[in-house]
Amino acid sequence: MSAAAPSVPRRSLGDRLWSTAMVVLIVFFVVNVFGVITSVIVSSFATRWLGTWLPSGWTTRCYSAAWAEFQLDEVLLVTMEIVFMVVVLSIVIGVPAA
Amino acid sequence: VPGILVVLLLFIYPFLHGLVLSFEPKEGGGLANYLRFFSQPFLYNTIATTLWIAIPTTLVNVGLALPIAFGMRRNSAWQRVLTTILVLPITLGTVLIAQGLLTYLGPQGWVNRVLIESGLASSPIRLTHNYWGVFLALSIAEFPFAFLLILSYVTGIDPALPRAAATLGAGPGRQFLHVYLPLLAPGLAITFCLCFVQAFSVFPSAVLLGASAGPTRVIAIAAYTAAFEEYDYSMALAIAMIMGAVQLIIVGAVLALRGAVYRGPASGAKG
Repeated sequence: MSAAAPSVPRRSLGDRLWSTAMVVLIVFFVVNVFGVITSVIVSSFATRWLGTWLPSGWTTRCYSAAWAEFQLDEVLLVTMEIVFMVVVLSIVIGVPAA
Repeated sequence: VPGILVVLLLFIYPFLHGLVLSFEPKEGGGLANYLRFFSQPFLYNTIATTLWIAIPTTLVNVGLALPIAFGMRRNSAWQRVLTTILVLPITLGTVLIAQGLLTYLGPQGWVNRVLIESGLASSPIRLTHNYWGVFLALSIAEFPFAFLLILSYVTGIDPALPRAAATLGAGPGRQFLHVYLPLLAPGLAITFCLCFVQAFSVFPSAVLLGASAGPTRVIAIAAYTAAFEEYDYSMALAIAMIMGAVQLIIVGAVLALRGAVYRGPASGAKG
């Protein structure tokens, strides 16, 4: 159907209201998801964050402390080993089954 | 054959082992665990509590995901952008989302700040450590899941069918009602079941964002308490079995309903 054809029905007011409502809903959801993720990132870099829009100071201390405290280099290595094993096992078992 | 063996070893065997153990309680006869569960309101009420969380969240999220997925059925740049964004909360995991919601929705969080600054609320609205905290946490995980599933069902429908309806004068609304909805019914039933099972077994967000002593004391918390606070694995397994049975009943009911409502040709759609 070409757009120039006069028989193409115009989009009614209801249609437009409906699609606007859908866009508003999607934007609302996406904004909130990003808000949630951002608040985790912001608070992970914050020194003190009480009763204000943004923290009063910024630091990466939590990251270095967590890295040292939980020996994250080893933890990450073990995690990668497990991920690798799971992938290999899934392929070995899954491919012949499929 | 190795696939079947692995399923037997990793799924069927632990399940049967758990089932047998649940009938070997610490004290009393074989059914003691089950009798205890159904005689103590503190325990059997968790079924209703969990259903009261799981069914509304699933209905709301599948209900919202359906029209949005339908509106995005044409392959466009928007469809790809939204799909990418919606994969984020699924990838990040429940614990990060729960922690984020605690800050974001808390009395000093950005949501309440916006509400107060804009004059929509005079004092912070309580959105965490209650029913709504769990509801919203589940929605953030469930809505993208439902959307992506339904989108794959919608795009699997042959576009020639709605086009045929359009040449007969059917607008988007009537195309949806008479062409898409009947073809989508099986997919919707599956989506509902998967979302429901996810919501029914909610644990991290019910502990972190809910009031796990009362309004959101879900059945998974009861099983956890039995296993790791009372060290009564037999009781915990019995609760897990009851949990599975309730899920099976709801899933069975949804699929039976689908069978009763939907009697049409399944061609032109996948699933």
